[in-house]
Amino acid sequence: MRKRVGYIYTLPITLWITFFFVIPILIVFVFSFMKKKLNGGIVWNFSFADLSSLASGHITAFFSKVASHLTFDAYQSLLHPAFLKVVGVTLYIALAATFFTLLLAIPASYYIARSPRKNLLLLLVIVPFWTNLLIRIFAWITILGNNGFVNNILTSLGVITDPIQFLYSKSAVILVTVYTSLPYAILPLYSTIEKFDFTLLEASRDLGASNAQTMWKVFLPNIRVGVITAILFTFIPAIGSYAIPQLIGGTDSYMIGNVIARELTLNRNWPLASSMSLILTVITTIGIYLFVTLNSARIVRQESDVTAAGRSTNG
Amino acid sequence: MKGSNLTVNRISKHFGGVQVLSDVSLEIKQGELFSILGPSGCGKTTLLRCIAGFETPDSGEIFLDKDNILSYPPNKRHVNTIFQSYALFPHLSVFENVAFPLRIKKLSSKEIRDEVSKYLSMVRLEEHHNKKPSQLSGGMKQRVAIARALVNQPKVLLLDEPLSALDAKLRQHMLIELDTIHDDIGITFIYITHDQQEALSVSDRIAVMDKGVILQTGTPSQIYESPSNAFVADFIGETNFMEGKVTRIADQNGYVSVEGFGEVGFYLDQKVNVGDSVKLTVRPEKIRVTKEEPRFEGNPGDWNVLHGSVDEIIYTGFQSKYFVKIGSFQIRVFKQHVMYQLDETPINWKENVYVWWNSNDGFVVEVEGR
Repeated sequence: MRKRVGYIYTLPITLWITFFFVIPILIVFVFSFMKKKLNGGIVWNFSFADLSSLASGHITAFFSKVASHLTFDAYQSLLHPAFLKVVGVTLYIALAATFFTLLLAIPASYYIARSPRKNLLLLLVIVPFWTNLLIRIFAWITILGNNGFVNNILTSLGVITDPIQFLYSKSAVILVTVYTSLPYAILPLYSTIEKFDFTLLEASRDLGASNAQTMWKVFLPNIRVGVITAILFTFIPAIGSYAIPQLIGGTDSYMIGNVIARELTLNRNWPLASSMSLILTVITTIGIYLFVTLNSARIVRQESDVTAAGRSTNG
Repeated sequence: MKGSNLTVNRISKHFGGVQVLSDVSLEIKQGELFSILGPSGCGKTTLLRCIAGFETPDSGEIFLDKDNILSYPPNKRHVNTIFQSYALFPHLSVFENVAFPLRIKKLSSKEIRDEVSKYLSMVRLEEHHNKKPSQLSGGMKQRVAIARALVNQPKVLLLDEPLSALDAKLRQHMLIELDTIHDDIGITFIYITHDQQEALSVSDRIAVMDKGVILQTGTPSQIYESPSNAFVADFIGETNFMEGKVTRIADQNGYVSVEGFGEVGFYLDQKVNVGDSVKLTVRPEKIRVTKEEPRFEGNPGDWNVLHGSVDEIIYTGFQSKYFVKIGSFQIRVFKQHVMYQLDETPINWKENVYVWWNSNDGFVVEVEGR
């Protein structure tokens, strides 16, 4: 009886995930093996008659019809060097953005957690969410543009005579991605650091560790959960980024998201767009899986090191 | 292992507008178990943090032997701390916690194993070396903290209220254990506590602190038996205070007229003049309570005898505390039960009794205008 109650509780989320995640992914999966139609969509000639032929025992006929629809065209064009380069650029931008986001978010969260005005500071972290992402990206255009804020100041100070081209580069995409990711990294880091016992830092210093050693050996290992969450919350949106490279990036900073959009809308190649989406999902999933399992494996290994050392001590 | 002398020379420190330490000086000798005792907020923890290097005093000097350590960061001071909350690293096992300072020093893994197991066996935790701190009891965590602080072979060990998180029974046990460890390794211990029993029972010397000032430094019996002022007398143990004007002085005793008591004699350990307003103190266990009027051989002037009624009796097993009302004043008397119900006639609530003590057990802790 009690077990059934559990199912009822999870039913809404199960339905939600089935309809809005599992089924769409399956559709994308199927589409990626189909032939494209000229103006979008895919070639799809199946009917109930085919199913009834399967039911009446014409199995080979059914499968030959299915096989005649299947194609690996989309996956072949994924091997095109131009696309592989986009994958490389995407990974580079996502990893760099994650790195710099953490570099800024960890000290910021530390400061907020130790500040007597943490509520005000947290509010300031959340304030950007009150405005639409696109508007915030356009704001960066007015800051970084050739006629923008930064160039105007530098020109009026006489540092430069001609404006510097900040926009439409990988660096600009990384910069704006870092900016949009910061709140997502700061919030989980803050909630972990806030629970951290800061006397551990003093204990570490007391026992002979320098400030840097204390950070690496005591602080970071104890806020791991927050760091891992911050990495995932930054890396996953960054690798699937579309709007930022579209508006801020140039031709060299095209990311997978942009290529998918182009294939879907401009080239009307749905199977190719589907296969790219699938590849993106696979890259993200494998990346997260490796990251999380390697991390937990490291913990296990540390523990078994200790066990081995202890055993030899006892012997 | 050898300890060091630690000299604190005129340390002052303020936070915001609050003076936490004013002109504090201490001379702690090599190998001593030295306690700094005071109520919470008296500045004792700040003083310890100045010695450990977590706070920088506004002025003054701290010497480890001949070396002024104030300019050194905490990791270069040869001083280790046992924190009130233990501050064990939750992500490391017991073994790795104790190994932490040795790994920082980059000792070989064989040296680390040998040293860590030596100290883990000293605190009897070899069996638990691969547990995480969260799997340990309070007493075990305390022992890990001790092993971790000692493995570095500090010259001075600082203990910041190390027993305050333990229950009463375990506290007694750990106190003895700490004392034994101190006797074994012989380094200097500086023990911070607000618990006078802890301080009295293990210290070689005690400094009593209040409001950022050291009030008295001395051996436990000096602090208890001849507190230099009313605060120390009141803070260490329990005591009775009486106030009055000095009426006469004879040989080694002075006499004070206390309202409702008549004339009370005291021991002259400091110079007072006839007419001075003074505060006397007498420890409750120095006073006796009987139903019969006491009879004295020799000079009855050496004894103070008062008559009153029992207001309250608190039985604590090994002793009873009597609160005897004399006039508008209440006097505390502790009586040790040395024989089961046979020591003498039992005293009951509301009964009339005599309380009496030797004049030499009372002494002046405060003279008005001084």
